[in-house]
Amino acid sequence: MKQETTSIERLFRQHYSKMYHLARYILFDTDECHDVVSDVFARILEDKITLLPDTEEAFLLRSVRNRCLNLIARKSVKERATRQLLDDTTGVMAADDDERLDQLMLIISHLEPPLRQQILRLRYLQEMSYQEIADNLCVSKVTVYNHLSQAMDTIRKHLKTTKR
Amino acid sequence: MKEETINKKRTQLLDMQEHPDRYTEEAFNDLLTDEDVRRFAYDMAMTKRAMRKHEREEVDVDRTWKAFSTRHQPRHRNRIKVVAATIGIIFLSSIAFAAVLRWGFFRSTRSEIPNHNQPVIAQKHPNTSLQDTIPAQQDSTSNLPIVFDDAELATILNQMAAYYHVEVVFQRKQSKHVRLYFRWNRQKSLSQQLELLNAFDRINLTLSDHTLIVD
Repeated sequence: MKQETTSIERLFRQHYSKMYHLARYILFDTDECHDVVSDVFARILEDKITLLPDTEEAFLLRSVRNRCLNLIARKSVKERATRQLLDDTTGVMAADDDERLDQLMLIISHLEPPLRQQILRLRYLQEMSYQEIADNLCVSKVTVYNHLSQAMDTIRKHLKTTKR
Repeated sequence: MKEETINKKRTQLLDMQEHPDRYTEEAFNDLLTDEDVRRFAYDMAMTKRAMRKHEREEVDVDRTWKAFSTRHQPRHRNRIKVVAATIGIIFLSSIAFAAVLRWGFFRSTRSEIPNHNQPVIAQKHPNTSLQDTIPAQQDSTSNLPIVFDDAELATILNQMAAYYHVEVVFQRKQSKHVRLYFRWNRQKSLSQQLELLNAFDRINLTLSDHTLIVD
């Protein structure tokens, strides 16, 4: 029994950060993300699941991912659209999705003008409203909208040529 | 002209994101039927993901662990159960072990036993206990939990249905393609499985009269 507790502690300490990070870029919300990761560990304790060292990380990450996607699927269209949660109707994120995200990041980091990148950063990392972004950057809300729209056009064009 | 409507619809979506309380669920649904808007929303969500992925947030794992471990202290009752089960297993296996010893002992050196009544009883006893233990062991290997990894609900349920001798009826096609990770412990009953599966938000199963209905 003692050994079991220490092993869950080891799993937790070793993998929590990575699991949380994964949840954070699928689900975004801090509290929800912590809950998801905790739930995965709670489930392991409850069901007395023994993980094999070779596959434990993959298992834990997949569990987090599935839980996040299940949570998103339960949300209303309105909430998903507002929070910009990706509705993976095709099922689980494809394995090459991570690669695509890296590619996408490369495109984002080359967006011009710098203002465009700044808008994205304030919106997606700081979770500011469009009005707050406009006020922050001393531009109109319409300008913010236009930059976003054009940024997405660039992204779509690039993603098309690279994949999909 | 066309570009104008595209921009109008995109602006509409952005405005709805800004003031979700002003719009109904239907309004969102309607707008998202538009191919371009849907793609626009998808690209924005992907962008958010990509940027989030590249931004690390420090987590105080130590504090989180402490919070977790106080909330999920191993329950006392569970521990007793485990201990009791272990004792049970040890007890059983020692009976079997003793039986094997005795049985083997009798077969080779029967004449050395002075007692007349005991051999008959003893011989009968080990035989049955051996039969009990051997099939039990075979069972436990074939009863290892089956792990479905990223499997479709239809795949899982069809296998279960065959095993538990029920029929599956899918009321909605989409339900077949819900993907999940699931551990199927075949030593548990079908209703126990359903309880586990129903814990998933997207799954709703009911069993009535040897028919498993998937909502």
